[in-house]
Order: sequence, then C-alpha cells, then structure tokens
Amino acid sequence: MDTKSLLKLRGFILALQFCLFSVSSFFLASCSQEEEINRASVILKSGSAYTAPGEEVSPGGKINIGVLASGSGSPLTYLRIERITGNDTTVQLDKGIYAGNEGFDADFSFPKGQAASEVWRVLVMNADRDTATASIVVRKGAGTSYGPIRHYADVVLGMQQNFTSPSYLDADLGLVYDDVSVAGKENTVDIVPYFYFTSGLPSPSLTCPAYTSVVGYYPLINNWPEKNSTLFDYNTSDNDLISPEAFDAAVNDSLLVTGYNPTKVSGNCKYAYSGKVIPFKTQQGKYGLLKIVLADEHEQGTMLLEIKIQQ
Amino acid sequence: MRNRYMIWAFAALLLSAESIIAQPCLGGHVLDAASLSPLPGASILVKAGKGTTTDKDGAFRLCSLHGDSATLTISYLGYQTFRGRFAADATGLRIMLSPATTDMETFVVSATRTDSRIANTPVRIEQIGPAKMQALPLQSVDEVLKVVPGVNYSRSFGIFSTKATVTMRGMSGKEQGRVLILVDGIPMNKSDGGGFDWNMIDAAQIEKVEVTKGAGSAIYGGNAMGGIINIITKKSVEKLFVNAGISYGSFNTMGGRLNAGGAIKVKQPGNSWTWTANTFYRASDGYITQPDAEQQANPYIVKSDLREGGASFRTNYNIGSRHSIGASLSYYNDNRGTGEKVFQPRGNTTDHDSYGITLNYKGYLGSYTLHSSAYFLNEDYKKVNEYLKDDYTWYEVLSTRRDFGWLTTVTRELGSNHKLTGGFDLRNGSVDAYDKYYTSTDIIYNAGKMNTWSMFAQDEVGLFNNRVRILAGVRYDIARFYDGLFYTEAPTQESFFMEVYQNKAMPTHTRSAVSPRISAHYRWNEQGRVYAGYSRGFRPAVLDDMCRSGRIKGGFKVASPDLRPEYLNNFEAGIDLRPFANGPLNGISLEASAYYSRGSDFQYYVTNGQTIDMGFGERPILIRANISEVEIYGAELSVNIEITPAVTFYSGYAFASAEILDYVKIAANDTIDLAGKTMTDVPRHIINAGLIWTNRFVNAGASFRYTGAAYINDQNTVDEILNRDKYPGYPTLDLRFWRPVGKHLKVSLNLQNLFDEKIYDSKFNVGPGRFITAGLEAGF
Repeated sequence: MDTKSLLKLRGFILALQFCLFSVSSFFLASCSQEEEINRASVILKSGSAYTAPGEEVSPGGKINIGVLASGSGSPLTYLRIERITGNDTTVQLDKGIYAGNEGFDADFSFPKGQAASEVWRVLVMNADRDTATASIVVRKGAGTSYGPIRHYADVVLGMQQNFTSPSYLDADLGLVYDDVSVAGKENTVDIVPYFYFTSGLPSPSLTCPAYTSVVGYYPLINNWPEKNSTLFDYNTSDNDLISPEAFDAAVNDSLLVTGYNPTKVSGNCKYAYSGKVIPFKTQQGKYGLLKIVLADEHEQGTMLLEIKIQQ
Repeated sequence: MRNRYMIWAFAALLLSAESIIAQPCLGGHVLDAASLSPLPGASILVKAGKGTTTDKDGAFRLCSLHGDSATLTISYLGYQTFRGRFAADATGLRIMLSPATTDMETFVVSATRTDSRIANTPVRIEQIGPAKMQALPLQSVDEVLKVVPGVNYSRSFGIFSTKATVTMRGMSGKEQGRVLILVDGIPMNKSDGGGFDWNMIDAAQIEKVEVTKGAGSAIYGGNAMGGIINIITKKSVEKLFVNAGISYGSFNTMGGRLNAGGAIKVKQPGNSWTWTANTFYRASDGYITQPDAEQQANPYIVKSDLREGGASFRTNYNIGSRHSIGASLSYYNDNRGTGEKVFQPRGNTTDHDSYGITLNYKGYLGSYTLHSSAYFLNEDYKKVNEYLKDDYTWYEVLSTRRDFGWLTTVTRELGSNHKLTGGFDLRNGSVDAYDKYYTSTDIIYNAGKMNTWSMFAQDEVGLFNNRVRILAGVRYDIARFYDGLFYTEAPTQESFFMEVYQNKAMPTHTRSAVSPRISAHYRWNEQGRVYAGYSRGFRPAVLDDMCRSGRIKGGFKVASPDLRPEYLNNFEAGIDLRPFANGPLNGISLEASAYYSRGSDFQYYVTNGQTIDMGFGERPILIRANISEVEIYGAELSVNIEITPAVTFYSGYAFASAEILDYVKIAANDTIDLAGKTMTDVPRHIINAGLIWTNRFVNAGASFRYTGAAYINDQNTVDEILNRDKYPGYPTLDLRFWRPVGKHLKVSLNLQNLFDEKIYDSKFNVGPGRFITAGLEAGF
C-alpha cells in the first residue's frame, strides 16, 4: 500500500472514530434508565404525650401529633398537616424539609377548633415525589380551653440602621433590647424589624434571629448562642382576615390561636405595613397577634407595635 | 486563487533549481505574491524543528540541514501558509505568499444569502477572520465580537455565565432576540426565548464571523432587527489535519480539545469528500459571584463552577464541481453552578443538553444556484433551585425547546452584474416545560408552538461597471401560535395563586410581517464608496412570553398569547475610504456609518392594574405588551491601519441613543410612564482598539474596550440594589501572546481583563475580574 493510500486510510479511520464517538456520546447522553421509585411511609406516634384517635379535646385545647416518616432510600422533602372538617380542608403546616436516611421524627401541636369532629391528616413526600399519608380523628370535648393573654401597647423597635431605638423584642415579656443590653438575653429575643426594597417596593418587615438572612441586617446575631425561630402567618394579615377592631376586642387567646391559620408555615419573615395585624407563633409555642401601628419606610426608621400574646 | 499562488511558488522553485550549485545551505526570499514586496519576519520552519525568520529584505538562509531535502512551512500573519519540499542546498528561492484575505474575507453570505463580495454589498458588514481571531484571548466564541465597533456585549460572569448577549445598533443588551444568530446560515435563536446558547460553540471550530449591521429581515425574517451575526465553521482543505490543545488557568480552569479534518478525493473524477470533527471539554472550580453582604447573610453560598463538553462532526460531499451535499451533527452539555448549595449534590445549577442536525444541498443548475438546508435543534434545559431560608425549598425547571425548519434559496445570475434571488423558509419552534417542586406537590406546566412560513425575493444589480450597486428585496412572514397551555397540578402555597391564570387551550393567533429593504452604493474607485439604505426588521413574540406565567423580578408575569411582533424601520448611510491608495500610508482604511431607526410595538412588561398575593404580600401583575414607540440613532467609526505587514492596528467608536418616545398604558392605574426614558442596557459610548504584532520571538495581540454607562431599569430610576441609576462605564484590556515551538507545537498565554476591573450585574453579583490561561497546542 503506497503512502497516499495509507494517508487516505488514516483519514478514513479517524473520521470513523469521530463519527462513532459523536454518535455514541449522543446516544449515551440521551439514554436514561427506568428510574426506580422509593416509597415514602409515615406513621403517627402513640402514647400519653400524643392525641389518640377519637380523643375528645375542648376548643382551644392542644392536639399533639407525633410524626415518624421515612423516604425509604430517597430523602423526605415535604411535610403537610391538614385539618379536615366536612368539606373544608385547611392546611395547618406546609413545610419543605430534607431528611435523609435518618428519617423524619417531629412533634407538633395545634389548637382544637369548634368543629364537632376534625380529621387531622399528615402527608409526607420524598424526593421521588412519592407520597404517604396518615390521619386521626379528634372530637370536640366539653367547655373551652382558651386562656388569658398579655397585652403590650406602644412597643417601639428601630430598623437596622436606627442606632437610637432598640431592635430586639422579647414578645413574651414585651421587653426590647439594643446591641449592648441584649447580652445574655439572646435566647429570649423573638422578633427583629428590618427594612429593604424588594422588586422596587419599600418593604418594612419583621423577622426573627433564626432567619438565615437576618445577619445581613444585624451581623451581631451571627454570634448569638441561641437564635429563636418565630413563625408569622403568611396569608392572614395580607388578606385582612383579622381586623384591627377584632384585635382590639380580644380579651383571651381564642383569636390568637384561631387567627394563626397559615396555609404555609414558612414564615420567618413578614412584610409589616402600617395597619396590618399579623398572627405569629413563638419558638416556645405561644400564639400572638401583632398590630403594626406605624412602620417607617426607610432603614433608619422605627416600627410601632401593639402585641397580644398568650400568657 | 490559492492554487495560482501555489503555482507561482512552484515556478519559482523550478527557476531556482537552475541556479542550484553545490552549497551547504538552503536560502531565498519570501515575497508578497501580488506586489512582490519582501515580507520581513516571516516564520520558516523545517520539519525537524529547525527554523528561522526572514530579514528586512524578506531573505532567509538555513544551513546544516539533515538529508538531501527539507520541507519548509512558511507562515506570515494575514497570508496563507505555504508548505513545500526543497533540496537541502537550494538557493535563490522566491516563495510568494498570497494574502489570506483573497479568497475568504472578501466574500460573505450573511447579507444577501448569496455569495457576495463585501465591496459589492451596499450594507455595513464587518468580518473577523482567522488573523484577528488568533490574536484574541478567546475563552468563548462570542468574545470575538467585542472587537466589532458598536457591538453591545454582555457576559457577566465570563466563562461561568449561563448566557451571553451580543446585540448592536442600540438594541438592549438584556435580550438576544433582537439580533439574529446564524451558524453556517442556520438560524439559532430559539423560538422559546429568542436567545442563543453561545457556550455551545467552541471557538476553535470557527473560521470567521460575519456581522451584518442593521435590519436584515428582508432576507432572514424574524430576529434580524438590529443585525445578523453569522458564525462560519472551519472546512477542511487539507488532506488530513489533527490539532489537539490543552489549557490551564485562573480558578483552576482546565480544558482540552481535539480537532481533526480531512479532504479526500474519491474514485469518481472531480468528486471529493471533506470532514471536520471537534471535541472539547472544560471544567473550573469557579469563584463566588455574590456580594459580601449576601455571603454574610447566606451560609449556603458556594463558588459558581463549570463543567462543559461538546462534540461536532461536519461533512461535505462534492459531486463534481456543481453539486455538494453536507451534513452536520453536534452535541453539547454543560453544568454550571449558580453559587448556592444546601442539600443537592451540585447545589443550584443550570444544565443544557443540546444537539443539532443539519442537512444541506448546494447545486449549480444552469444559470440557477439552489441552496437548501434542513435543520433540527433540540435543547433540554434543566435548572435546579434550592434554598434554605425559613424552610427548605427545592424545585427544578425542565424545558425542552425545539426548532426545526427548511430553508431554500434560489439564485439566478442574469449576466455578470445582475442577480435575482428568491426562496422560502418553513420553520417550527416549540417549548414544553414544567417547574417540578420536591418540597411541595406542585408541578407547573407551560407549552406552546409556533409555525412560520416565509417567502422572499431580492434583486442585486450593478450599474456603470459596478460603480453603482442596488440591493432591493422584500419578505413576507406569517406565523401561527398554537397549542399554548399553562396549568398547575397539585398546587400548594407555592402556586395556588396561579390557578386563576390556568389555560389549557390558549387561543390560536396568526401574525404577519412584511419586511422590505432597498439600499445602494456608489463606488468611485477601489478606494472609496458611499452607501445609503432603508430596511425594516421585526422580532417575533417569543413562546415564553406567550404561554408562561410565573414570578419575575418586580411582580408576577401572566402569559400574553396575543402578543404582536416588534417592528423597526431603519435608515442608514455610510462611507468607506482607503484615503492613501499608494505610498507608505496605503494600509489605512476608514469606515463610518450613521443610522436612524424608529421602532413600534416594542414589548415591555407593564402592569395590568391588578395585584397578586404570592404568599408574602401584594405585588403587581405584569404582562408583556406591545406598548411603545422608540427612537434609536447612532453612529459608528472604525479605523484600521496596517502599519507594516507584521503590525496591524484597529479601532472603533460607536455612539447609540435609544429612547422610548411613547408609552401606552393598558391600565388606568398604572403609575409608570416610560415616555422619554432611555432603553436599558444600551451603552451610549463604546470604544475599542487593538494591536496585532507578529514577529519571530513572541506574537502578541492586545485589545482594549471601553463600555460606556447604561441605564439599569426601564424607568431610569435608582436601582435599590446597586444604589445608582446606571451601570458605570468600564474599560478592559485583554492580551494574548503566542509562539510556535517547532513545527508542531504552539504555546500561548491569554490575559483577559488585565486591570482586574470588577463588573457588577443588576443583582450586584460580580464578574470574575482578571482571567489568565496558558495553552499548549499540537498540530499535525
């Protein structure tokens, strides 16, 4: 075979190799195996600490639900707890989670409503989007369990660039702290205010020490040994379901526990415009209402609040 | 043409053979084939790795060569490389190199869809060929266009950017859809969003890039509103070549590529087969793009990193000299981290899985030339989003974007100065997408399709011995939007507010556009011409705007299936001069253009007067609507100076003004009025300059660019994140050094953004700054 022919042959082989490489790369990339789906599972814990199926609980009393769930090889990524009364379903907890092989183990408590019978349904989903559910029925008991409240009027909090008004609020006792006086009290702080623009709109907001982004506004919180998580009801106040008049009229915690009715409890921060009433729940499990009397729309401003919280 | 100069060289060799006497050295002169002037500094390599360069008289001499003969490879910037075998004692050689520009750079296809000389085409065309490309420190193919005067270029995070945008003539740098991108004549702008994934093309595949400025819809239809960029890939002219390269640089960036090609004559006389193949891979650790405040606030911020690879194969079979059929297959995959990682193995990423197939035929049938291409482009896009704020959120955006079509052009030559062109295009674009949540049960679907049928006709006439050239054409496009849908499945708080906007059977809409063009030039001699013209361009509505609702910056966007195209009427005039035809200054050339455009039905997001609570408070509902009339005008000037054959200087300045003249509200309570505002992302001034110097030591290329200030938002107000109303202007200086080592190797050093200029985007994310890579290439 002469040199010319060899050269031709070499070129042909090289071209063939590239063809094969390209085609095989293409098909390898486009092939996908039938994916095996891992099944999610959930059970509700039993025992004296938990509300039993068919148990009677008076309105305002606690329904205690313990959840044990597994993604069976696929991480659990979603948890939802619903209260079903007749044809009405309200989502009490709607939470993105990430629980790997260790599974998911958590306890929750919710206030009993006025319905004669409530179905409490727990739904979990894993990363394969497989879902599992478990539920109990809870009946209405006699009397009520609504309790007394504390009332704090005229609570003033300074925004992140306000260095004259304190910014850290202990909602339980109605105390406020600044960067100095908060030393040693960090584990009592439930609420901090901040101001920012979002999508071009001025947005005075409330958050809590456990919110990951709060250190962007209050860098000192980064060093706090304990950071409380306060959950704000995302929808209620924006839809004005609780009026300032209803807030003013509340003398026990009935409105506080029934008003906190979020359809998604991913509420570590909340827009807080003047005139809004915002239900919240502290890390200690106390329900409360915040009335935003006045919220300045700049980061040197203040927020004037009125608070009602369970004793 | 190339063969002619090869024959010259061969003839010179024969002549010199007579004067061969028994001498131990091989020597001669390297000359310009046209002017016979010497070429000083030309590189001469012998197969064994020995080499030299020519002196000021173009003379060279190589002694002590092994064997009876030697193969010389003679290269010189801007000229075709010459290879030839000579007796080891040959003297008096006269080797003539022909300019590389002769065959390649003066012919373009983008402006007219026919093979036309730039000099005969009365529009503004810029071309970046191999000589300039090899002097640029390219990391991505779009960076080639930074040296074109007036090109508005954006690639916020360098190689880590998931998208780059290249526009021109006052078009906003936010969107690619107003400039048409072609690869070997195939339209690449996706019907879904109008964009093009610039990352999928490896710069090593590129032969040249043609830029036709101004509206070109008369011949190409949609997207060709501000201009056309045609990327021409390499075709093999050698029997066999193999090039391999590796590179390493900043942020632990490493890459490799392998290119090969060949041209093989087959048994049938006149028939030949050519092929090229290319593979590349690149990976980088990346860097943190987010600002300090965000890094403090978010413990899950990680580096934005990169992995990408691709392969392509192109082949052409020439049946005699009158017919050729070709095909190409390309594949690309990337996975780019976007800087946040909570639980997912790679954190937040974007992933493109793209492939394309094209088939084409070109034939000369009597006085007719037929060119027909079919293409199929598919992109599977995946975006992983996860974040942990108050609870964990994880969802994926999965989108399949397809475009396919059939393009046909028939040209008839009526004498040497008259060419009639006509043709039709059939195109289909579609999107099938969904957002799938893993931290809730929601799935949000959107889909839509668009068919486009088009016909065009064009006449090119040369009068008075081609001193006057007239180009006139018109195109009619009709497009039908159908199968549009948007709906949610198992909605929770993430998407329950979208339920009211569900529509599983969006209305079908048909839109049409007529795009005329007429332009003419007058050339008084080979050194000068003036041209003027009018053209109309349009940009079709994109499927993403027509069929998808969802969160966007500033509010909630609802689908707008009855969106109309944007139109632009463009008037322009220009002059080309080579003022010094003879003498030492004959290397100076100037090009200047000025344009005035009026746009109508421009698409903007406007409020429909309603608000929506997406779970955290009321936000405005926005809809993409045809609302405004815009006025765009500007001017461009470029100066090129060939100081010596080894030193070339180029520079350009562009001014652009883009203003919204009229803003028609669609809701009475819309408090915004954009009338009188400047369009966003349009720098008023762009300056570029560069120098290429080839020599026997280290070749060097330098390119400077100043991008002027540009408004950040439509309302020209102070942006709450950047705390200013304009992106500041910024300069960049890029350098490249390269040097052949022996016959087969080349080493290079690329320095981008030498001054380490920090460039911020609208979210205050920062660019990579100075970026340095070193490369080693081997060619056989």
